[in-house]
Amino acid sequence: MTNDTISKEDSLTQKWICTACGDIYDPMEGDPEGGIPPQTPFSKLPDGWVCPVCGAAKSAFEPYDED
Amino acid sequence: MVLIGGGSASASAAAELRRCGYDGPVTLLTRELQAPYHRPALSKEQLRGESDTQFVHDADWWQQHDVELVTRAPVMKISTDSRTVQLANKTSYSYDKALVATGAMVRRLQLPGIALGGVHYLRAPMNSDQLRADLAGGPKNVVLIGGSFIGVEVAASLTTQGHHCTLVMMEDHCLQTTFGGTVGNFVHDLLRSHGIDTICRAEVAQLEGDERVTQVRTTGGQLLPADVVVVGAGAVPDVKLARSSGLEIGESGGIACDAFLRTSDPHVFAAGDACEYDSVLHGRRVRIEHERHAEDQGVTAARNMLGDPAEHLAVPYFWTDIADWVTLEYVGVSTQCDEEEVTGDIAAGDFTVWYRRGGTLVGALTSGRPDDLLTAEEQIRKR
Repeated sequence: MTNDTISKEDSLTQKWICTACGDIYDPMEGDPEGGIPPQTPFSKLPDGWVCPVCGAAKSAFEPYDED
Repeated sequence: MVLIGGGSASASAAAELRRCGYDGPVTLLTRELQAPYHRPALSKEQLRGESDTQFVHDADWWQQHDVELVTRAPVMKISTDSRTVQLANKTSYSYDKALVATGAMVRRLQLPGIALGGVHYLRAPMNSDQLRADLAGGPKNVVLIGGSFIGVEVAASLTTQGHHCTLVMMEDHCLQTTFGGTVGNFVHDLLRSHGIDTICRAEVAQLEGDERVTQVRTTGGQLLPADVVVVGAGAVPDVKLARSSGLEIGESGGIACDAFLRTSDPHVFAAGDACEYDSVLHGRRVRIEHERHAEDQGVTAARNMLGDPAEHLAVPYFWTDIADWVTLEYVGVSTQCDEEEVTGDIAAGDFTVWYRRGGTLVGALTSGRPDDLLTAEEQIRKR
């Protein structure tokens, strides 16, 4: 499977940004304080996971383009 | 000068740098999606729909004062050796002096059922707007977890909108941990007189519901109907950037600073919610979360960044608006006291509580008597 076939949600290199506060979720870092180990893709975050900074729901995140 | 963080401390520092006559480059970098705003309004006017986001500076202030404001710009690393900061998009900014004012994060609860729909935290404007939207369509039952500022202010605001609010808290009374028993009782009576239920010395065991929350169960077995849950369980200093950049972190979890708000790196300063500093006024290290404090520290930090050695000496000031029912204002260095003297008329909401320890005034809280705070501030400053 090449990188082209991995969805953004499953990617370990695709970062995600909270549209409420701008916090960045980096799958390589995870969210240890929230019980999420490093190398956890966005798709594997539990439904109840919320933004570590502002508490917005997972649905508030969108892919972050480092341009 | 590079200011990291998009809150009141950074905005205040930017203004002070220019007020002091500094005409070199000033850049404010923030991950936030908008310019610095007044966070206290999120539980008050903005939540009630009385105002949009209240910005610290007008939109044209930044250009007028030649301060580069870069939003959606999360800083991933401060390289203290090369005195540069790197953004997530790999852009670098160099600095002579930097300010880290990264604020605080909500304390997230881990509870069975916390993943249900209808649970809200409050930190950014969108949180406030989403809470407001979730409450549309008629009176709702709202359960608020936590008896501090967020819980009290949001409960009051939502009550004025016709919702029924229940506060669940571990404290004996709302705000008692912060302001002591006299104020705790006053606020308790005030909230109950407006129909807000308070369940004190209690904890939430779990949230229950199908896809959305429908009720909250306390550890004591009480079942509280809940269409919406608001969590106000405190905040945690946001020191991720500071820590990963090698800055020392203090015992209370904030960025460790001296009395001049200088971090463990001589070219980097900190201010606001994230700053744990050596307070000359308190005689110990403190970290304070309130907007006025962040503004004051932004001023102190800016002066030190310009080479003017200024210890942070502003007497901390807090305020809380409980709907339009009462405004409480506080100045001081502690509410840990062995004596609370009350002047005025509590029942009328026109009073001041004077906090003393060993006979020395350490703080004062007033409802309606601002002159008392000036008196208190002067006495405390002279300690």
